[in-house]
Amino acid sequence: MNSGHLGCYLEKTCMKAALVFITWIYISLIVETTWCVFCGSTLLHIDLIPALICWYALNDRLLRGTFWVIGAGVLASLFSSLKFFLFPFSYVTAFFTVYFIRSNVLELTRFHAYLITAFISVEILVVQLAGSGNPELLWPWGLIQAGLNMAVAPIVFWICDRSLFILSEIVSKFHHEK
Amino acid sequence: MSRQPPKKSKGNKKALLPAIITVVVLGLTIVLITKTGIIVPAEMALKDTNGRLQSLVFSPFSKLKLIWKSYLDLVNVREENEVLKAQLAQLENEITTYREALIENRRLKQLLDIKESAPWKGVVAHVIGTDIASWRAVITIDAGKENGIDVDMPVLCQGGLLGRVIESSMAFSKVMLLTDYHSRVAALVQRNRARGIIKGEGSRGCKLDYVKKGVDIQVGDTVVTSGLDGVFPKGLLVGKVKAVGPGDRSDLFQYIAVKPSAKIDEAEEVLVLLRPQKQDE
Repeated sequence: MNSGHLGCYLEKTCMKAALVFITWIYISLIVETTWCVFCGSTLLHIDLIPALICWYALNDRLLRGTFWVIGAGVLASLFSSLKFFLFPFSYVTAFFTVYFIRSNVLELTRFHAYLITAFISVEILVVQLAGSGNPELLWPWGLIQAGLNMAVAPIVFWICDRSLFILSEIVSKFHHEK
Repeated sequence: MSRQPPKKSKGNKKALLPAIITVVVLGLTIVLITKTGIIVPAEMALKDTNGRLQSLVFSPFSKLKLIWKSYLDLVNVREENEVLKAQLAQLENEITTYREALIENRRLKQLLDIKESAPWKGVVAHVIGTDIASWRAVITIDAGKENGIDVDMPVLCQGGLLGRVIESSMAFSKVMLLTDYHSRVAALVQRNRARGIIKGEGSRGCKLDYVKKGVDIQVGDTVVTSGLDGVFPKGLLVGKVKAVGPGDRSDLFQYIAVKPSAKIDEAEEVLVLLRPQKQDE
């Protein structure tokens, strides 16, 4: 498949957001699991994944989105010792929540999106902590972590928007070349 | 036409005499001055005046020369500075590398000591990652089944016991640390052989559970593995007791906080002990 065909394929299937999402999920998984070796292990850490799920749920369709979010969950499971189904289950739950809000709220501002990130962070942590037998960690650590995830959400949204814009430019360039 | 030689005139002879007299008088004067030193102060004053004039004239030239030389030096210094800066950066880099190698060497030496004193053979591995779920004290190491590593093998680092292998692929393994909430190790207090179970408590360290009230446990007591769990060989250093409490009224057992001896947060190289039957295979 040459570059022209690739551009055409991406244009047809509108997979740009999915590509951006899965790429950044993978990068954040790698970074989050390696930087702790140097920075020391602490409970609080910068977690980009809830913000990425929120951004993706605001930018893609339900069916394809579910498929890619399950893929992200499976990918995350490989980096953890938690039970295999916990990551896909918690991520898909978060995706559905954001998708539901997006479908029912008329004017969703960026600040609302950041708030939703905090909300789905709690949701993800509830599923994962309860599933791994440590529900007592939700208070206060889980809620502080959710606040931190909300604080990094603007950066994640900006990075994803820029990535999507750049990818769209590349795709349209290939499309015109064809 | 023949050329005639010039005739000696009387005027020439008259002019020669005063000239001779002048030369003689001047000669005598010079001899007189040098021998008697009459004119020395005047000579010195003249020399000083000349010197001052010379220095007055020379000063701007010398300054100009200095400026020019400084400029030339500056040009050279700038180049030299850049070269030196590059050399300094390179040397700093080398020093960091050597320092890192030295520290790694120390760590590996300590591991080697543990390896020699350990009851089973071991494989050294590097820590390459942690768990994405930050509340789990699980690390990833770069050795797996192809190195003979399998599930439930003990893992040590400088200081003592670090944890056990919980998953193993061909080239990588996951190690559950002592401090993980799901970690359990059969242990005993070295001084009085009181048995218990070491449980992980996350960032708080560990606790020795199931030690009855009334058993004498003191802060600073050494805790080692008892070998009763069938996972860890007997006698591996776990840590030291850092606090002892009676626990709740309803509790049958004491609360004993244990500080792991292994530098859990700083572990970079680990030693995985290979179970003997695995070596036989």
